[in-house]
Parts: sequence; structure tokens; C-alpha cells
Amino acid sequence: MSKKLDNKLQNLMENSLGKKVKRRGFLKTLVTDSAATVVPVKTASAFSFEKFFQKHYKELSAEQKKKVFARITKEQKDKFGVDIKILDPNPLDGVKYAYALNLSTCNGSRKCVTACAEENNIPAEIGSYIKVLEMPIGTMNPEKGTLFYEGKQVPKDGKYYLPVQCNHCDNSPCTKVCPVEATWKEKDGIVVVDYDWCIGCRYCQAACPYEARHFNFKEPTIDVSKLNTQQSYLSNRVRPKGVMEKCTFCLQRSRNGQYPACLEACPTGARKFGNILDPKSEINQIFKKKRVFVLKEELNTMPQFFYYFD
Amino acid sequence: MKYISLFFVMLCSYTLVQATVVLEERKMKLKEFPCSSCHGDFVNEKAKFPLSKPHDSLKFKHMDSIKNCYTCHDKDDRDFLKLHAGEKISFDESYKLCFQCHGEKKRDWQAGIHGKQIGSWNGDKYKFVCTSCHEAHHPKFRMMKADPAPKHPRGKQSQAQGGH
Repeated sequence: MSKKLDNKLQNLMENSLGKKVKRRGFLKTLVTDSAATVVPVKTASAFSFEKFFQKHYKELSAEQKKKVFARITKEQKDKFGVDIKILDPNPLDGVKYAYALNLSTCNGSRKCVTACAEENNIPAEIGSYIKVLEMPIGTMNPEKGTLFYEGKQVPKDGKYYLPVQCNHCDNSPCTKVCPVEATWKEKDGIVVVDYDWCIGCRYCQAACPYEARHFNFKEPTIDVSKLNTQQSYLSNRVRPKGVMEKCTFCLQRSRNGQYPACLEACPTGARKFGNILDPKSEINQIFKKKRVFVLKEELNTMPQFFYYFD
Repeated sequence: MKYISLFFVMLCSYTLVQATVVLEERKMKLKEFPCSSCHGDFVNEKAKFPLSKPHDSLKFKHMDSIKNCYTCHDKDDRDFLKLHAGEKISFDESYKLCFQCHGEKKRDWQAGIHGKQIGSWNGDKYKFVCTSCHEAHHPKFRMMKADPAPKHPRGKQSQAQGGH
């Protein structure tokens, strides 16, 4: 057997040495070979082919966007059997969003957590974009808090509650580290992810000091009966496996003038949201009348999520 | 004529631009309103309207020095409230009564900082009043049951606090 193999090798060597490989011939074989490898991809599924060669969100023309949204709609129809609507609201002019949270009134009831999961079609593995920390009174160190408290009667004595979500930093470390620019900060201050462009390297998760980014390790499990059919390309559409996702201030709501879902769910009215450029907005009134602070100020991330006590 | 129409257009545009704020109504939320259906005319017809269900379940824990219902309720007309200055106000305006003492909260509420607002951040709003969240007779915010906790990545045994 080894003799046979040796002969074959010898033949090959002789051939290759004796015959000079010409450039044109080399290119010819390359082209035919690569074509042979690409063709099966196209025949396997036309949709995955289309998805594979889809451009970055910012480079898509209006026509191409329409095609992409149609593809996503069809994909979800095949998968869940539900008709969904993909919206793509643009950033409003003269608007920059900011959020403020009153820690004196937050009672840790986690209603925002549940509302967030329902609005944004978040799979059970991820849970929610909002984490509520139960903190002992007297410290601001998040490491002293606990995420997994049980609350039959909240607020508990000697505790306060610190909800943490994406801070939508002006100097955002997560968007800087992305090797493919799949995440960026929009004109109105919202940090978004293009789920079709994300390669799932999780650099941004490592870079974020607020643990605001979540990774889909598995194919997301969605309860079809609770699926929110009003979806947006950059925010709450159903994510594929292997991409990052994060809070987008409920972009599909806020860009249509509504409040985010967490704010509407809050029973105490601790959450305030608005346009920082409008001098009459609630958020600007808070800046004038209250003493606000941000988390991990020393990192110079310039968060747009403010906390205050009153 | 031209000026009048111009004025009219300006007025319309002003009302369109101006976002409306709707306050929550209190009367709709009260279970047995109007109060006069039981209380009636106290002076003459007391015997006619015996109170079948007096306010037994009413818990009062607001301010210790208040011992009298008529500090806030109007003595003669039970469907109304009364300010210290003597002005009769409807139950829908009960926040005016609160603001007699809670001036700081009044400023915050009027600016939209204190209290819940829903609707649109750049348009029409639905604003909750004091009594939407605080029961007037024991105003401390109610205790609640929290929604379930997130799943611990290492199961239940490591729920105890502290690292390692």
C-alpha cells in the first residue's frame, strides 16, 4: 500500500516539476474551484444567500431596506406563523434622549424588568435588559448589592434598589472596540446594534462597564403567544443566534413619541425620560432642581442615564 | 376680516402645538361616590339615612395632630372637600388639598418630576395625581410583591451573598 502511495506522490512531483505552472492556468483552476464551492450555498437556501451578502445597515438604500424587511418578515412567518411588522423609525431632529431614575422612590418591584422582556421579545436565557440590584443603605458600590433577591414585600427595611441598564454613553467604550462596526451611536444618542452585521465576538460585552450587553449563546426561545409584532430593525426584532443585544430605550416606541416600556410599567413613577435639548422637558427640570449622578463616573464614559435622590 | 382670520389661524396653531396634560380623575375611582347617597342632609334627615356601613375599615395614619375628618372633608356637603382657607373643591382637585402642606412635592409635581406620567414624552400626557398612588388616609406607598428574580447561572445553592 505504501508503495502505491509513493508512486502516486512521485508522479505528482514529476508532473509539477516538469510542467511549469502558468499564471493563466492557475487562475482558471482557482475560478472554477471557487465557483464549485459557492454554488451549493446558493442552491441550499436562497434566503441565507441573500442574508450573507447583505450590506451594513447604514449603507442600505431605501429599496434594499424594503427587501431586507420583507425577508425578515417572511423568516418570522415561516418560523412562528405570525405576521409581524418591521418598522424603521428614523432619529428625530433636535432630539437627544436621556433617562433619569429617582432612587428614593424606586421600590424594587421589578415591574420594569418584566415589561422590558415583553416589549423587546427577550428570550428566557437572557431574561431582561434591566437588572435591579438590592443594595444595603450606606454604600454605592454595586458589588455589595445582590441581583437575586426574593421580594414578597418590597421595599425591605435597610435596603434600596438600584436598577441598571444600558447607559447610552456619549463616550461609549462598546462601540469603539467593535471590529466590524456593527454597533454605533445614533444621532439621537441611542446606541444600537445591527444584528445581521454582528459577528458575535463579544468584545463589546467585555468593554461595557455596566454589564448592559447580552449575548445569544443559543437560538432564542420565544413564546409565540407573547411575541410583540410591532418590531423595529435596530431594536426589538427577534435576534438570531450568536449576536449581541442591548437596551435601545425602546427605540420603536421613543422615536414615535411614546415613553419606553419600563417607564410606563413603573408603579412608583421613579423613571423619567425625555429630550435633553428641550428646556421644558421633565429631564431638564430634574437637572435644574435635583442633584444627579451617574454610575462609574471615573471611567469618563459620559452616561446619559442619571440617578438622583430627593 | 383678514386680521381676524390670521388671529384665528394663530390661535389654532398655538392650541395644536401646546401639548395637553390630562389629570387622573378621582371621582371615577371612588367606590361609593357620591358620598351623599349615604350621608344625605345631616341636619334634617339623619334618621332617614342610617349608615349601613360606617367607615370601620378606614385606617388613618397620616399626621398625628389631625383628629377630625373635617380638616379636609366639607362638613355640610359631603361630595366635596374643603381647603383651609374655606374654599370648596371637588374630589378631582384633591391634590390642591395636599399641596397646602407639601409645598416641595407641589413644585416637583408641577414640573413633572414627582409622580407618574404616561403618554408621550413630546406630546399629550396623562398625569397621575397624589391620590392615584398615595391613599389619602395612610399615604405611605403600599408594599408590593416583586416580580420573579432572574435565574442564577449556578443554580440556587449560590444565592447567598458574597463572592466565592
